[in-house]
Amino acid sequence: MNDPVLILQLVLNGVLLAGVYASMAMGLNLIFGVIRVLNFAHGEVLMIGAFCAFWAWRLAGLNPVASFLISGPLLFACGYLFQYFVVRRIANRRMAIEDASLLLTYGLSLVLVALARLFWSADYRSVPFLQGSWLVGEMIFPISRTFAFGCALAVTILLVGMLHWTRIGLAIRATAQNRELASACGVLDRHVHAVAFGIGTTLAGLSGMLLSTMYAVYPDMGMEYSIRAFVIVILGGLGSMTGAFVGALILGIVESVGSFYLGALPATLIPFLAILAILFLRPAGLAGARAREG
Amino acid sequence: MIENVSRRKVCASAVGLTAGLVSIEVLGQGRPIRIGASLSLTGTLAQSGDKVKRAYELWATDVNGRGGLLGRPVEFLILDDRSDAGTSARLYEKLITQDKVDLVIGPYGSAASFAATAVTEKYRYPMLLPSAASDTIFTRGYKYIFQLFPPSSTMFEPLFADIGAQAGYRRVAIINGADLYGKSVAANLEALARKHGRDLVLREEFPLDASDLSSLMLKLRSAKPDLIAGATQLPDAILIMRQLRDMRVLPKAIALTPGAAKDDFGQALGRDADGVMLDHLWEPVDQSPQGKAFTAKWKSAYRDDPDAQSAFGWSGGQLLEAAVKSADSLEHDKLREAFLRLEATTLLPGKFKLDPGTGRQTGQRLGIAQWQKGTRQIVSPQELATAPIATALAEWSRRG
Repeated sequence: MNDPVLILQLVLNGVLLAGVYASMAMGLNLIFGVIRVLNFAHGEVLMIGAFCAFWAWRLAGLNPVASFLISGPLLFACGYLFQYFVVRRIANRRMAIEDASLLLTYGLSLVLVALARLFWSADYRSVPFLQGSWLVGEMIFPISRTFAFGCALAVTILLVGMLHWTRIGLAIRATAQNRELASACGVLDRHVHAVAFGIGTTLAGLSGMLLSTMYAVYPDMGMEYSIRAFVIVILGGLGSMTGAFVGALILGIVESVGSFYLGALPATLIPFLAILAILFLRPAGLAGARAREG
Repeated sequence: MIENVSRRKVCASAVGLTAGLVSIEVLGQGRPIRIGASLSLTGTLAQSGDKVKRAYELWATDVNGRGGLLGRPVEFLILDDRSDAGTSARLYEKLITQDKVDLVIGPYGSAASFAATAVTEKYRYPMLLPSAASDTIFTRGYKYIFQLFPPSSTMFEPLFADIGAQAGYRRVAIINGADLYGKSVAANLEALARKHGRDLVLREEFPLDASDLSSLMLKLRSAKPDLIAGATQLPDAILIMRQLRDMRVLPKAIALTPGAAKDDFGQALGRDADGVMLDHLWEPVDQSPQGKAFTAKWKSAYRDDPDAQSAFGWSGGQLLEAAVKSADSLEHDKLREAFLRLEATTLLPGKFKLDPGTGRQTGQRLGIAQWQKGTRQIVSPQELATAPIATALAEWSRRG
């Protein structure tokens, strides 16, 4: 039970698992960090992304990566328009944006699940892509997970780079720090918000695409991942991209090692215990004061 | 005085009763025998409920074509319980007290069967329960309920007994999802492993709809089981197969219930499903004479494929027919006795035979089916087998 190869493999499994968690959590975090919208429908957007990958494969024989080149921009457009025409409108009403958007996106998540069940039925699907594993020495690298981890890492680097070195990135960060001031300096905040929402939606779709090659795809799949995304965001610090990545790594490794030594069932408590511990010890998340700066 | 009155009363009621029975018999000539049932025609169990409904009706058409029951035609009165157990119980009350049906037959599933039998038992209506698997229905001391579903203790038994011995399934891992079904199946499997002297190398429970089971896979890898037997729902069954392949775990055999019994399992996994075993109740590939006859009748009536639920419904009708014929009456107590002494072959493996004390099934068996090239084939028992069993799984890398 204490074989070093085994422990290394457990850690590796956790790290690879963290890849999908990270791309999912970063989308959620970006939306919250910039617009203060807690997107409850994030898991359902992930489900839509997974179904896009499935149908493109089933109907057109496209592999999930190729189909994401089409579904990614589409999801971005949906996210952009949703923020621009729907979320922004409710923001001006009496309710605080956090509360109003929570109700709105919760409703949206129910609608998306219902629509998915209606159009695609509650059947369980799967995309046979990137199956099997590589053997490096004595370590096993499942291909789909290794690929997902690579994608997540690349996306994190791209996203952090964009936030720091592009005009829209600067505008997003400026708006996140102080909306009124950014607006006064000429940043078109409604456009910036919509772009942030669009990117968040695309990231959820990306995680869905990655997941479709590992797990069953079905209308209710989003919930399981929503919960994890929330845990990671709280763990890593609301609004922090690198925090989200580190949070995902920690959760992935702790879950992997924990479910080996404690058993899979007790290990389901880990995410929730982690939230309690973090809220108690470091309420701002692991990234602490650096949160919301990317 | 009191004695006189009561004697007179008894005589009068006896006369009245006889007259009543006679008049019913006379009026009853040619009048249809009405059989009541509630089924899940809408709601979450609608798909299965619909199959059972069509099976009941197919049997009714069939028996009417053969001259009916006791010389009378058979007619079904089927109501929709919307997949709700409480509604099912209310509907049986209505069927018995308002619609005054002659006979009843079971609803779909354990939950509805549990609730509905509380009503039918009260009115002493004998009730055959075609699809009730749960043991708890039969531990309430009821006298008028009869089970068709094979005892859950026979789940995967051949893999621990004869097939297991021949194929060398010595080391066994038992895994299960943390729901009631998973827990009870796993407990039964553990008992089987002990009974047949297998080494239980791993026993682990995992959460439903798990997002990652790679740690479980690593445990399986170090435990090196010959047989992995599991009770898991469909999404987890798919995940398990995916991750077994990812983590390069290859036992000699894998048996999963009920997840592997669904068509989606084969569609989602393609060639990776090949070799996986599952519990067999009935499959349309059944080549036994009565299985073929049933499939042909179903296809000509409905133009789609029957499934295990259809087989339950059809067998239920046939058993009701056999019991009524053997009792030569619709009288409830005679019918009850007829059910309890009935021994009959049905579409399911084994032979219908009840424990007279509880009405529990003792004669039917769960067989074994196996995914082979995208189809579920029956591999055990021998007399129903449609393909030889593959006792060792193919290497993952040779599956394409």
